Amino acid sequence: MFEKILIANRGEIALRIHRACREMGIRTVAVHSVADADAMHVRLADESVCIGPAPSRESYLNMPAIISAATITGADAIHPGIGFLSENARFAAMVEEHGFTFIGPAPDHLSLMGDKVQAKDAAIRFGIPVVPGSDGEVKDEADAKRWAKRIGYWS
Amino acid sequence: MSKFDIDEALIRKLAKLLKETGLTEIEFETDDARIRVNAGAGGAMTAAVPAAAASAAMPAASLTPPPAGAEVPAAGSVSSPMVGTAYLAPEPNAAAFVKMGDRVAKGQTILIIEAMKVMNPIPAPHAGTVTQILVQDGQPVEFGEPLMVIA
Repeated sequence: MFEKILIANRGEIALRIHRACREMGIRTVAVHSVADADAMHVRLADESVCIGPAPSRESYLNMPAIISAATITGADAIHPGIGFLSENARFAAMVEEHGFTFIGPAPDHLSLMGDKVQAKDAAIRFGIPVVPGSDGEVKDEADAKRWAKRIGYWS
Repeated sequence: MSKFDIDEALIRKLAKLLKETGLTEIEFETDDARIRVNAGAGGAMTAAVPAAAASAAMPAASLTPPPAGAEVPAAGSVSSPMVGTAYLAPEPNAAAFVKMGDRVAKGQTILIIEAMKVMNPIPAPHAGTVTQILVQDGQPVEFGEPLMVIA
């Protein structure tokens, strides 16, 4: 059981994670950009850390800042929520390397399933039925028409 | 839960600060109390919120409670470019990079912020005299947190 979770997200998503943590008696750390200092997810969390300026690239997507925030607050785990870094295998690996638990799929599962074309390839390789469609990226209009015909979508 | 006494002097002080600085809001928080002074449209308005009053909702605790007597960062304040741990000296027990009253040159290292085990020297953004050191050695700092004032 975790004692303190850092929520690497904002808004409604962060609030839902916070609520679940509160119910389970887990303390929360909110991270936020300069622009969200007053946001609800920041106000309700037990602790908060400003991790960067307003653009998400420099705050909610700033991996070193989030790892540092987890370090200085002594969190045990990082919940990425959805979007932002939630499907980023590199981030998941970085979280684990720094001794925190990544609340989500293992890094290698993320790298397998994060990309849709690759995910479908993997499913086919394992003999899992998939919806009919191209066996990879659709390169151009002619290619798209050919596949559409084969599927029966367009004749 | 501790009883929250209204500290009139403190509110007056904050309201005065608010007027002087032209800010719209100041929030001051200690372990058991939070005071927000907000300059509304109709002039200065004060609101005292007893923290930890609601049983269900805990107040958002700032990572670093402002030290007693902390003032609103003056002009020339140097804020943290990153999240990490601030160190005032190059190594434990060594002399600090700068102390109060020191004159510093632009680009001179004034402290270190450790992030992900990397020591990042923070240079003085401009030349001047160190008039305030707002962080303690080993203190965690967040992005944009005032570190020092170089006037």
